Amino acid sequence: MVELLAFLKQYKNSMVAVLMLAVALVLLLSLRFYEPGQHKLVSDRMLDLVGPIQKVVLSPLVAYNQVQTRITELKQLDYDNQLMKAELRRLRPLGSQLEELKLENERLMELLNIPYRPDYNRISARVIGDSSSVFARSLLINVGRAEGVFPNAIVIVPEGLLGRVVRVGAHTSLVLTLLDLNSRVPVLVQRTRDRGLASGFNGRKLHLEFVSKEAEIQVGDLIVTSGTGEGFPKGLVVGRVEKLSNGGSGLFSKLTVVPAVDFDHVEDVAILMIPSRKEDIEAIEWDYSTAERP
Amino acid sequence: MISYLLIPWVPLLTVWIALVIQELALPFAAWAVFRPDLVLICLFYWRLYRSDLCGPVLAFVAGLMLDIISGTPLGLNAFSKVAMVLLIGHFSVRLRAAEFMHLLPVMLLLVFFDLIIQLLLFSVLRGNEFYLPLFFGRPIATMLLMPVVVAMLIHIQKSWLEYQ
Repeated sequence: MVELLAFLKQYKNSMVAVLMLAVALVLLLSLRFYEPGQHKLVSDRMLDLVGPIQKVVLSPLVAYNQVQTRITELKQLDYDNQLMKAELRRLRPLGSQLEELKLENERLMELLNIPYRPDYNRISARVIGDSSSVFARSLLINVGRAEGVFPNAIVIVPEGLLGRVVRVGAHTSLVLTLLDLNSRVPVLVQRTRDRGLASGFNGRKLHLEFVSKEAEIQVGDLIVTSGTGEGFPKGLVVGRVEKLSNGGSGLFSKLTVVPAVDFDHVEDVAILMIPSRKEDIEAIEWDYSTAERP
Repeated sequence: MISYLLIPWVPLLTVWIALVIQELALPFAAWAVFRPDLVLICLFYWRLYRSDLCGPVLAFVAGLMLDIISGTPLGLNAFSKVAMVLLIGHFSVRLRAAEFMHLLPVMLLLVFFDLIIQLLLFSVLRGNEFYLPLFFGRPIATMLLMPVVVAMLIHIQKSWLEYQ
């Protein structure tokens, strides 16, 4: 017995080592086919023990990951910010364009609200040039023969009569405004029904000529087209009387009329045409180019 | 008095922390090949310099915990780690006399042997599932990380174990 104890004491370390190796082998061979859950209970207990340590150990990594995530988010934020700024730069002009379109839409809606005359065809057009000078008051519009425009077609805006077409190109037309020296429009005073002729003088106003001195016209009376001569339809607003003059010793008084249309701010117009008159009018086409200038 | 009682548990504690870091702090798939064997470094160090506190029992417990946590067949790491501790113990006198730089290739070989033992056992159990990159990645990673871990263990030893 003493010898056995001495033997065990002498080879204690080796025997422990052999024992450990044997136990490991037994474990290995007894649980040789590892199945999840086979030693799940032990594994779970181990993980319970490991958990708190893992939390402490992992805390720097977690903090690092959070910082990294935050940095990534900030980078993304900066990138998004740049994108938004670029988008804003792109869209800012669209804002003014939108405002422009809105105003244009309002103008076109007003044009559409002009009373419809069944015997007239109506074409909308845009003013693309102002060829006014000291000697002429005319506008260029973006419709022409191809769109069905013909000479002497009447041009109106929501405020009233603008003028008439005097020259027609393929896709453009020249409009002689009421202010032009060559413009003569038969009109009448709406209140008194006195007739006259509204003529331009290349200024900013009109003269109302051939009005009888007996006519009881007042400042502010509305002047509309009379419809005589069939050049212009009846009832289009021309302007209002601004100044009265007895015309000296003559038979007629001479009045100054302020046009209803603001010729400096015309952008969209409507063109009224009578299809049945097209051929007749073309036959006696007025040659604007040969008109005499003062 | 309390610290004196805790001294025998210090190697186990360091092995435990090494195991947690090795298996849980670096659980990413990318680390599978280059994951260093920190447990073996700890066993190596304690077996060399405090063989009274690190024997086959500690190696067995460390290996078993490793098996349980990593999900490898129970006993695989336990067996290989006990074998490694015995091997280190056999050459401990020579290894203690060697310079630290010479211990680095020794550690490389130890990890390699450890993997070989595991491979052999594993082949017996499940057939040949040889994963070549593991046999190069893990020894190299362990060798490269060894100076850091050993420096920490030296500090722990000087701080805690020199009460005796």
